[in-house]
Amino acid sequence: MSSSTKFLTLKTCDDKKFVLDEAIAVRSQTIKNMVEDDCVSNVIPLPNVNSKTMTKVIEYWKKHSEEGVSKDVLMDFDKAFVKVHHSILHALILAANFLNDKEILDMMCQEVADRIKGKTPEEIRKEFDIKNDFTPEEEEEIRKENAWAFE
Amino acid sequence: MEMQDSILVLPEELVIEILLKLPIKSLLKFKCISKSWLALISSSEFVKTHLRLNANNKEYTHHKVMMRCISNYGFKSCSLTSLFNESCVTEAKDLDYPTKSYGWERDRYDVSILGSINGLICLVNDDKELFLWNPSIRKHKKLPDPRTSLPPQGGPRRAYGFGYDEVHDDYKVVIFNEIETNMIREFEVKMYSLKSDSWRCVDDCPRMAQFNVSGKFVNGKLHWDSTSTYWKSDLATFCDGYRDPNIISIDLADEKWGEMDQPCDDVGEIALRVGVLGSDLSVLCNCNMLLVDVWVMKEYGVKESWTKMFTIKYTPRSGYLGQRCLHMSNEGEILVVIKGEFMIYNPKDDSLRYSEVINSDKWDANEIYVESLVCP
Repeated sequence: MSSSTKFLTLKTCDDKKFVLDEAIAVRSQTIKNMVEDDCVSNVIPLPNVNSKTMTKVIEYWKKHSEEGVSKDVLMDFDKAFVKVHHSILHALILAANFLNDKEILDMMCQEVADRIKGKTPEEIRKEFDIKNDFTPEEEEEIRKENAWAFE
Repeated sequence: MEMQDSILVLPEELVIEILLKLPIKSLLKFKCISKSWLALISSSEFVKTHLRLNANNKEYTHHKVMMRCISNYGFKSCSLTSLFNESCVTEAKDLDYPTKSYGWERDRYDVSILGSINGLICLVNDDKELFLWNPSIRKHKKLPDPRTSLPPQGGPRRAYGFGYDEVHDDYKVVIFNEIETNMIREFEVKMYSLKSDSWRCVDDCPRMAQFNVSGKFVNGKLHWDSTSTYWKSDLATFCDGYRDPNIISIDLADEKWGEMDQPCDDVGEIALRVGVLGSDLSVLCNCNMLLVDVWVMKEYGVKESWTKMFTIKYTPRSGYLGQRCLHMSNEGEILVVIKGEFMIYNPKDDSLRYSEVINSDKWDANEIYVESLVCP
């Protein structure tokens, strides 16, 4: 390891600390901006991210920063990485959004989209905790408009 | 247990990120989830962002090729990327086209494709009725009659064009009507605006467009081969040293006409058709019966930037190139239509290969379109 390697300490909302190579941590545009603006003191607080989610994010960052990893290996890694419970998916989306990591955000949103695309409106309401505020007549009208989409 | 119940509610901006990655069918289905989802998915901002993502997708995942079948004038479509991919089977699927729901007798009505932009297709049938159709959302609209002011005898010869006016966020159809009475030719040009749902006359058109040819939409303007060379098709006119510029264009935003020259000026070279390759204006020049030069205007409006990209050679068996090149892949391969078949031309080794489409029947017209939520 070269002597110029700098380390950053990230602190999640549940007070866990992660020490990370700066070169890896700047995959987060948010952290990168802080580093570039020179407003990094000892510890970077991540008030919106818990340690469990951060562990997943760092796992991804490290794998994707490794040298000499083939495309196929990364694809397999990504495939396994997104296979998590939807509450973790949502947490990762929120974290990726806060950390401003477009790569993770896109991948996680695509995973949610792939999981929900075949579901019924009722299932989606449950999954996203949405109240149906249509009257039965209104809902019927909208369904009729695009009846083929329900086939 | 704790995890099962802890649904983290995502802010709207992130819900939008997820929705933008859904197939169109799912988006239409999810319109009935709640009032806010309906408003979101129907909003013009969402429709535009969705279109931008689909249109700019580097893999062309959301681009389709539509074919008009000869047997029943129906439409089918297949994936654009799979046409280039030798290792995968391309399958054509039936489209739910407008004439179907109109209950017309299919064998009586010919329908032509006039153009495609932002997922909307412009069609005209034998009765000269015009339609805007978005096959991805299965919606269409019949346009009002353009009501030509020229006397109707003999039926006018027509040319059309379809494009998008970005300045006014409006879709526009241009129609040329030409009639010939006692050897005198007259023509008029009308333009339809989807926003106002009406036609009006457009003045000062320099020349009639070559009839039965659809305008090509590039850089906010529609382009046609004009009829000057058509009228003066004998060789003498090529030698008299003067030709009118042979492409006319109209800017759909300010409705100003323009003219420009095709690239091949040499005697004996006959420009075939104006087309589009990528986002550039292109022209196919038929040098002799066995060679076609494909030119592209690299810098829009700059005559000097016409560049000969490559020359497609035929063998007597392969037949002739259709009216245009359809698409250039990221690898630089070109999709062309020869003798009613899709073929891939590779400029690197000058090879042509068939790209088979199963379940496609026989077809005679085609158009590339992008899947979008744009409502006609």
